Amino acid sequence: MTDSPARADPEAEQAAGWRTDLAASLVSMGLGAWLFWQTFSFNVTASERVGGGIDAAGYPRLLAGLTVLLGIALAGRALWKWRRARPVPRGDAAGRGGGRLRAALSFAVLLLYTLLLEPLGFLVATPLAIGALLRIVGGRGALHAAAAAIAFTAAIFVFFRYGVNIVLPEGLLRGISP
Amino acid sequence: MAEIGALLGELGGLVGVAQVSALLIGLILGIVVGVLPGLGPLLGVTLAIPFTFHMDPVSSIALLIGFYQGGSYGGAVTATVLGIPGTPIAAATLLDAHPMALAGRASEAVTLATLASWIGGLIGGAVLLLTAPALAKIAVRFGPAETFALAALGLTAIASLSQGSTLKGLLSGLFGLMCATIGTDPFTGIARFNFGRTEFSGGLTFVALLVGLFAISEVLMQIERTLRGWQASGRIGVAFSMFKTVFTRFFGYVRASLIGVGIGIIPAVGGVTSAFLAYKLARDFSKEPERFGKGAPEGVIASEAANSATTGGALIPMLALGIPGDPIVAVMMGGLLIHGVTPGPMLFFTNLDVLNGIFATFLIGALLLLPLGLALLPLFIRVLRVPLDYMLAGVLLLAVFGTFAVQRQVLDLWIMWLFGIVGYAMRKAGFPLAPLVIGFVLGPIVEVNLRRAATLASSDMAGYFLGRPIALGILVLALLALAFPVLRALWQRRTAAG
Repeated sequence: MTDSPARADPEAEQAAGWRTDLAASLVSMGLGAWLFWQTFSFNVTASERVGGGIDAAGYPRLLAGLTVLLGIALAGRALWKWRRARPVPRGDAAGRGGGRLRAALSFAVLLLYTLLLEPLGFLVATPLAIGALLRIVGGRGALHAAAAAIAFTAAIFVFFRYGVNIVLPEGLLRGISP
Repeated sequence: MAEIGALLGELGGLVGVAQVSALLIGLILGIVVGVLPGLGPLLGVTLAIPFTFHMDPVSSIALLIGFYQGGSYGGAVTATVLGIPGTPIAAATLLDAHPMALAGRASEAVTLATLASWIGGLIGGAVLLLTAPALAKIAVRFGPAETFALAALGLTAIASLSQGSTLKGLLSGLFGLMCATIGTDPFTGIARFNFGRTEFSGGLTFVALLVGLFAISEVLMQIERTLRGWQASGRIGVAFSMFKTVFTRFFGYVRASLIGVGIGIIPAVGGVTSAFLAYKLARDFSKEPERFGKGAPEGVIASEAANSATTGGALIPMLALGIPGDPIVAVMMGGLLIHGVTPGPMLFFTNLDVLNGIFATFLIGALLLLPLGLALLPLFIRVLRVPLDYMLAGVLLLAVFGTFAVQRQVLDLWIMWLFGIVGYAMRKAGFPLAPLVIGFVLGPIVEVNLRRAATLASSDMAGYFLGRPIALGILVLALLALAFPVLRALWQRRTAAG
């Protein structure tokens, strides 16, 4: 996997990351607290309470408690970073914004694809999704994207259907799909 | 010597056409994902996991080993030709291989990198074969306290040594352990965190979590980055004159390989460190250190031999102790668990056929890397011309249908998207992903052994661990691993101030 791209001023970036750290600490504390509370709903009988409290509920409770504690420590670190924060050069914020929009649109297409996969079927939904992705990610023309999407769909269909013998969702084409 | 010969003969007999075919496919596709910038062996192994469900255990691990070995080598081709590492572990290779290419010696650089990867892989395999059984003999005597301590060491080491802050690494590992508790309690059968759905009674689907975390988040990151194409130019072939370096620079190859395999055994350190360490030592021992960074063949040999040998070293703790040292090995361990094969010391007694199959495929893979890498070099260079959007679309389709194929239920796709978003957010917030997946894989081992130890200890947990010196020693190492980044930072601050 690739490492994150290096930035010109890592110290400034570190100091500017306090908001992210604070948000992450709040998520950790919230998640830990919710899971801790959930463990009390487990149906552990008295005879199953062995091992000094580290039982079916005690073990996840221990993990959830540790998550809350580490979340608090991360919040402390975020506040320490906030006190040392310096202004960060904005750099290529506009470029990153475009990239984020592209990623968000692609993800929306993929979620929609998952929703429609069973009702429409693989052979209908996949070329639509791949065509849209190639338009969003690669900026391809409609004809080029359509041709590539059909080729991708055919290749994947042949591989799964005849290569590893897996029937993909048939949807609208149930009964007539090859 | 005769014993080793007999053992090798026996190992060869365990591998048939199906296993070698899986290995070959893994090697070729592994090199392809290694060559493509932004992908790499972890993504390759992750995408291959769903397809192993329909294979026998040895073929399945052969495919994954092929991806691991091929992917670890493939990055060197990109580092040489384009001057960007195809994978992070090829970063040290770039320092001398690309200047060689710029000087019109690209064929020599790629041939050297292939030779070094080949020798590194073989030495790594030999050390794996000789060391893992000895380590397993010791580990088989371990009780629940020692096994829990080992798992804790694996987890704290990866949390503390992986990229980013230790605190975030630990939170990531804890999240992985929590995810592993979803489903049915291993002792009592009580439902935990199943949100009223029977589909979760068997726990989260490993493939969905893995593919979401690594593949989907990576694709989203790639889409977000500035898109650009790559263009490899010039003809690159095999430089047979480089084969004589195996004799003229023999100690360079062996030294780097031993560094690689040694570093590979240590959890969380991995190929990047071993490659740079071997590179530094090669420069320190060189009579002409000033040539390094300007196209010194010794630099290419050191980094490539070390990062390839690391693959053999990394498998040792997984096979002998059941503790994966890096995320790729954790994924491979998950692949074995899917087949009901539990890595660890008992593997050496209960599943000897599978174990010997793993040894055999690793050695055969290491052997095949040289002819395959050199014969298919033109194909791998052509791969660099694939447009990025096509590549990402291909990865997405494989991710979606690989995950769907496991249980043929759309719920797994939703879990995959959820972990894709979780992985993307974690990367953005500087949380390492490796501790999460290692926590998820080690979760059942940690829980079962901690609860067994707690039951044996009754109410005196501290006294129980104090009475078990090996477990106590391993736990002290785990604490040291946690303290290491703090101590290192303090040391660096003192050095800078002084």
